[in-house]
Amino acid sequence: MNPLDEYLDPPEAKRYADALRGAREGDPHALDELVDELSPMLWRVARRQGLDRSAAEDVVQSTWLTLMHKLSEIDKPAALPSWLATTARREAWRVSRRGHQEQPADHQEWDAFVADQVDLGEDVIERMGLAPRYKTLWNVVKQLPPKCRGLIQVIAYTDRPDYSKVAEALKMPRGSIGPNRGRCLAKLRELLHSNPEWN
Amino acid sequence: MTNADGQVMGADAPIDDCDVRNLSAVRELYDQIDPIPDGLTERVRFAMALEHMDAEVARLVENSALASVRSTLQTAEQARTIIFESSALTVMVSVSQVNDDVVRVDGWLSPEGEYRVELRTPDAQHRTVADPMGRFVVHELPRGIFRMVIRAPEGKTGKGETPVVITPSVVLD
Repeated sequence: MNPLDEYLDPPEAKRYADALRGAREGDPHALDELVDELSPMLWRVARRQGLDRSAAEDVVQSTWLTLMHKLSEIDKPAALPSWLATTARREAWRVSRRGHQEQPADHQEWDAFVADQVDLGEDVIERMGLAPRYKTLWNVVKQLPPKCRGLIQVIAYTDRPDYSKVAEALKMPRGSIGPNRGRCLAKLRELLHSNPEWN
Repeated sequence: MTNADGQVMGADAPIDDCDVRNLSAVRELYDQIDPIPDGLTERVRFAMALEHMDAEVARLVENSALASVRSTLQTAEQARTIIFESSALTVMVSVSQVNDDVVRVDGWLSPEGEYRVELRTPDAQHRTVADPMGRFVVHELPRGIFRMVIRAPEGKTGKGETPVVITPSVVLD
């Protein structure tokens, strides 16, 4: 028995199984709930790969459409989140080769804010309304090695029972987030703990 | 902190509530700085609802306003003609603007026949039946995105409800 199985949440697995069966039987809305739940995670998978927002949107959509075409291939419903993450990662990689990377780097406005260089749009300033804590956190997240930052932002949108499988799907098996914290989550914790503005 | 082997301390410890809180703060951060686009999940569900149908997807062959399907309708006079083709059927629709929120859709189907026509938007389905010449009209359709599902005339198919043709989404924005 896979030692990770004990971390799978049986009610969740059953919910995935029911939704997939409904979709196979032709219920057009069987997957609606899961689309709402899991798309934010897929969005992060695409964005961490550096795609611009419009390309990332296409990746999320084509990931779900791929699932519709491959419903019969999903033999382990509990693996649905990691199957979707793998599919989105491949699709994002394919799209990024056609040149939809965001230029310049991601989060430019936020970086400018954090560096106290102003000239932010109204909408950004509005978002800053709840900023101080997030500014500290963003500074910490930026200190993470890029691979860790990518992993953490996806795991943050993943349900706990699925952490390790999704981490594997992102091709981060070494030191990944299984039942144990792993390198990236430990690093985040350490950085936050040692930051006086956070505590 | 790292030890002599370059391992981050505590990496082997089990995930605890503090880790879960940290991750949830990271999620809140990204919700602020890079949220998933409004309406994306609705658009995904809309695309999926037709995807599994056992039907032929018609090809867009002409869109008179612009090369792209994404386009703008500006005046009532500015009707737009869109043509879809499938092996069984050609669908031509003319879309004209009624007001800022509503369009009118006139359609012609070839070969002619009393096809059952559905125009689907993310929020609703508008059903009508073409006349014997294959013409149909939907007087009021919310502006935005729609797809069509066209079923064979009543009694002309052995399989009853099998859709014959669906079209790709047309965006009027």
